[in-house]
Amino acid sequence: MSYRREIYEAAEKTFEITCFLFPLEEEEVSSESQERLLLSNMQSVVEFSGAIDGMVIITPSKSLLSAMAGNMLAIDEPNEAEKEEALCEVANIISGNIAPIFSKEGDICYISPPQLLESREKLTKKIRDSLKETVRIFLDEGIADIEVHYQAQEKP
Amino acid sequence: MNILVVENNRTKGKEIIQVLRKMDLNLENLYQVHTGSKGLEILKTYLIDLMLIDIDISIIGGLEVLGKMRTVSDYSEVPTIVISSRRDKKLFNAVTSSGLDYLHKPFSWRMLRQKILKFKNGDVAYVL
Repeated sequence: MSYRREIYEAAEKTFEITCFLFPLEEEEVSSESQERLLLSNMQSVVEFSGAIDGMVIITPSKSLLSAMAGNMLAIDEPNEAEKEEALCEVANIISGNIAPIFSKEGDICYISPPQLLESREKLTKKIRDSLKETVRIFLDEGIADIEVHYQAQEKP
Repeated sequence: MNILVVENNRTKGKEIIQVLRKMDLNLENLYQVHTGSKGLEILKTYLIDLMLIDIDISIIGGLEVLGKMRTVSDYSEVPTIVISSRRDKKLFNAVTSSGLDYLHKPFSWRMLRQKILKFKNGDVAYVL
């Protein structure tokens, strides 16, 4: 079973309402500028637990990261802290909206505060046996990859 | 109208403050804090007509702040809009059955304004 549609829809709605960023077709973004496809080194991770444990990792392109913070604050050149907070806010919203779909009853009870992902190695153990869904969303100011890792079975 | 915004995400907090200022709400004072404990301090110090609180805040969690509010009569009846990204029916029911309003992220500014105006116009009676 794939959750790609649900993940995409949650991301699309979050970017549109929270950051005033609108979905495009892949070709539209690629033809506009290759720079918009360059992924940022900044990633945010949100862990969830409850009936199923898992985590969501969001990786925006550099141009999107800047646009997220800039649009939220109505400014042209957001600083690094503003970008980090904007990314974490978007990660928090997307995670809160998609985590429940991974359990039968929608019974996810805890979403951890979003954090910047400093080292992927630290996550290796946690995601070793988990399933993974990855969705890329194309927006008018760049792209974002949304990875969701989750356990195969609900806890008893 | 005096509004307190408790939002741990500084970018989101700034954005909410910017938008509230543009909403023609006849605001007198707008307070913004990033932690639940600071929120409680503001409630103790100033007269607040409406609190917006993100319940996913850290240090003292949003739900804990609401719990502490219940125990202090001076601000136990401050109208409150609880904000969260959690799509959780149990949480929604717990919040609304306590007489608080709930705003799910992502929310539109139109929706936030409508909810604030309900309080401002006295259309909703709140008792914690």
